[in-house]
Amino acid sequence: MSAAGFRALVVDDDPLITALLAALLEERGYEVESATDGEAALARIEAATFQLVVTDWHMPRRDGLSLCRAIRARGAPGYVYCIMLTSSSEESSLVEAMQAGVDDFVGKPLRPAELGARLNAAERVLQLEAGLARRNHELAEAYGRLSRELELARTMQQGMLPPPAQVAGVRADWLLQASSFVGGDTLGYVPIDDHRLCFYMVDVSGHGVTAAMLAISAQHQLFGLARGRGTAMINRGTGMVEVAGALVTEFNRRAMHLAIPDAYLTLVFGLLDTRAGEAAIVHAGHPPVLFAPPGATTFEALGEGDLPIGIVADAQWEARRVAVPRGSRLVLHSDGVTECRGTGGEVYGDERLRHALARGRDLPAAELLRTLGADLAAWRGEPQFEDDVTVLVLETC
Amino acid sequence: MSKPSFADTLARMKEEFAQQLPTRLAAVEGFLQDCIARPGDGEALAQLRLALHTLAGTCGTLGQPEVGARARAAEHLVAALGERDGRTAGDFEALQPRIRALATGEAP
Repeated sequence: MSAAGFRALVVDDDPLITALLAALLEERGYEVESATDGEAALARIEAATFQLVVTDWHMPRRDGLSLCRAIRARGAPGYVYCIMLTSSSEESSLVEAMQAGVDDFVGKPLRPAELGARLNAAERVLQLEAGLARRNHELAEAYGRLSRELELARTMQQGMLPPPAQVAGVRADWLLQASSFVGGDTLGYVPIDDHRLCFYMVDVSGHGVTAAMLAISAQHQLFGLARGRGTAMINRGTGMVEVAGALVTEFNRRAMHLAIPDAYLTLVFGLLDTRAGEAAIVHAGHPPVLFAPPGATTFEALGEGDLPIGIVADAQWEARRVAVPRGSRLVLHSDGVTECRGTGGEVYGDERLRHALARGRDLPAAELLRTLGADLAAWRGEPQFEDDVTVLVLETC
Repeated sequence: MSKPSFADTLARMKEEFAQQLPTRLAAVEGFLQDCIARPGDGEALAQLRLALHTLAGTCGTLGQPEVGARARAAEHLVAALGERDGRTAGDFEALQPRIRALATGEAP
């Protein structure tokens, strides 16, 4: 075993003994410094890094026990292995020495073979510690790289969300507070023409990179389906209920094709015709859309949970037709809102959400979302949410 | 020039120590005289004890085990004196022959 790269400090009030110990340690590959009392040794330890300290017990100014206690009290990074030189008169105090932080003992008079054996044990510990420190450093670097990439992914994911807008007779605005750097929630609204709008909200199971990539993929697929097949079907005269059901069924077929184990997602998908004053809405395992017609302050839950996306290959979904007169408000939300845990462990809940929406019924969507976000943050009591918190407000006008 | 081996260093240290031994013994004798002059002075006693302790450890390592054993025995006697109240100059004077015989083991 080599001690190359390790630095040792030998401490003894007899310069002949420090010179002898230094010679022995240098022969093993240590870079060695020496001190003739505990106080001088501590000053060297404060100024430089040592992996090994071999110290006498009784010395002027500061003894070996006090030196070891001071080394342990520093709490500096990197382990310092302490070997104490002992004579027969100190044998009764070995427990006290171990409590002071001594790792091993070498008897005086010094026997090089014994010291060599003790150093073998010390070097095994120091090599292990050095290996751990190296791996910790590598892990910290990898974590830093991953954090930067996650931050970039979050920026990209947020960049794919549509800006608040007034399109096809609908004012749309949203709130998305990711639980970590990237989340599995996404949403969108795509105009079909000047009075028809496709909208959706997705919540991918789990969090982190996989969930975020699936959410980005879902965003891409749903946008494409709305713009492509959905628009074509509408333009051919197919009814919104049929179109919405067909698009969700096709989306599920594509999601199954990805074949990512244990991954599924919940979805609300809808088509809204502001001229006709009606919508077709599909729920796929997602919390229901909350709906308030013009003048109403209470919100009604539309639809049932139904089967999530990505579980059954040949599943089919049917849309529900809903009358949506001008001045109605539709609110889509992820379960991160209603399952948000407060400081006491209680969830925010459906009723609290409906009350918050009712209180903000006459507020503009942006103001309602700001108020709701603040209410959730206060409920949570800490800056980080356990799950993505996503709310989409659509208002026909 | 390459560094001397441990064996070379040990041989050199033994030689150096043998040369230093009279001076070191004289230093111990000096600390004993301090104790005779100030028998109640704990600091003087601690210095004598530490000098004997260091001498005992070094002697054993550097080829003077008999001197080391005598120094260790003297250290224990001084330690025992340290536990006693009302130390007198006579207590330390009684140690004088033993301290002066550290080198040879024979009373002067």
